Amino acid sequence: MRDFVLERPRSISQALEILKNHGEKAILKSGGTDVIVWLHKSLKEPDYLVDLTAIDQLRGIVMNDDNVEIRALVTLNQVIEDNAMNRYFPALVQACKAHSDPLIRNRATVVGNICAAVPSGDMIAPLMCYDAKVEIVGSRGIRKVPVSDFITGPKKTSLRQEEIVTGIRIAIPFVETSGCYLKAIRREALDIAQAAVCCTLHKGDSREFRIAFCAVSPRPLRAVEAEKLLNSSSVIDDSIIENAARLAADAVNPITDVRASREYRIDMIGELTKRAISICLRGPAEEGGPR
Amino acid sequence: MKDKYVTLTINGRKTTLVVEDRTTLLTALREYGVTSLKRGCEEGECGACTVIMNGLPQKSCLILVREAEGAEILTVEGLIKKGRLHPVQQAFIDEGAIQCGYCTPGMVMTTYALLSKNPSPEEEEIREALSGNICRCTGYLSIIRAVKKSADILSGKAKGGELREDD
Repeated sequence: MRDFVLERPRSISQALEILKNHGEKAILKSGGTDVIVWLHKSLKEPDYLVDLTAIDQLRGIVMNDDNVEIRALVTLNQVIEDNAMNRYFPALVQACKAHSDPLIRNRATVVGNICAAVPSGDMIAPLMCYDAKVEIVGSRGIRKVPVSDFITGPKKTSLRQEEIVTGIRIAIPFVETSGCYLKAIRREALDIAQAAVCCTLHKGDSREFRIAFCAVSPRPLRAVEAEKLLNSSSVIDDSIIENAARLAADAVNPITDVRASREYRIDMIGELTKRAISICLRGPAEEGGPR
Repeated sequence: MKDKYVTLTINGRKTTLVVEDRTTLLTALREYGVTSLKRGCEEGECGACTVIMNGLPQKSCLILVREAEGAEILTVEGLIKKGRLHPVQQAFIDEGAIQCGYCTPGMVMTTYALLSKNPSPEEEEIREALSGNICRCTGYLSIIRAVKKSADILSGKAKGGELREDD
């Protein structure tokens, strides 16, 4: 690993100061489960590594009156073990469980997963379904960006130099809710999705389905047409589910790579969407789990 | 250039190490003499470098040692008390859950962490907990037996260190 200077700021303002001083020569890290691998493999060779793990302001899952804040240092296991997250955001919890393995989940962070912005990032689809906002602090103040706008392409985000993602904010659904995250993988741990589907259902005055995908498009994607069909149908029978799955498969534009072919991915999106809708309809207690 | 200091507690002993910024916890511990943890893949896939840091099992190749400032680190060296193996270690020996031994310290630490949290895990929970530790020799069945036996010894249902009838 090439040498670098490790900066360990104690506050957000210190971190911003360091970023301002070092500009492009610095990169940020939180859990480090991606960044340290990049350094080991010389995929990144920064002069300065700004480690955010000593900043107490970035810790914790904070419940507010109508929203929850997942701060930048919250690990996947902290989400999995949190009662409120299980109650309100089951699809996000399932996506956390589908990610890597229990040891890595003790370090890997939710925010880090979206900052890495790889199309196969497991946190992206659930955060799309829950319409999460990314909270960013820079020298010019705070801005809030929907996840869909934050990720601008494979490994690309709208985060500017001299900015830090401090957390993600999600509105709490005050209606009965169910959700699941289904991931097509070759082995049950430490595997990157061939394709995955996240589906959530809010059962308020009107029933609202949301569906998003993983690893089948360069940018985060919701199945808008499939959602419209489901949300406008008074009764959801097998033929509606079948049609919604077809609309979902039509919406994606995957590539062929080492993990799966384009054709396989499109087929899997159809199949997983079908299963995900059924699981959500069956109710909140249903455990979807990976495949 | 080694010019940074980091103070951490390794197996109960408070220690100050001289390190580089880029030194991983894995490298620092091995250079210090804690060689039970192994350098396998160095990208978080294999689990051979697993340690328990502040109560949580983690892969030490993915941690910079300076992040461990003030941390409590536990490795298999720290499980041995007065020359006696810990029941988890003994169970791995008794069940033949070791062939080449490279993965064993990581497997033992992950098992220790699992049983600290969940004293009588189901087989599915054991498999899930160990899913970040790879073994290329045993085929895992003997390891899963060893974890079950560890749980039985620790909960008093079985004695540690005894030989199996078919041994």
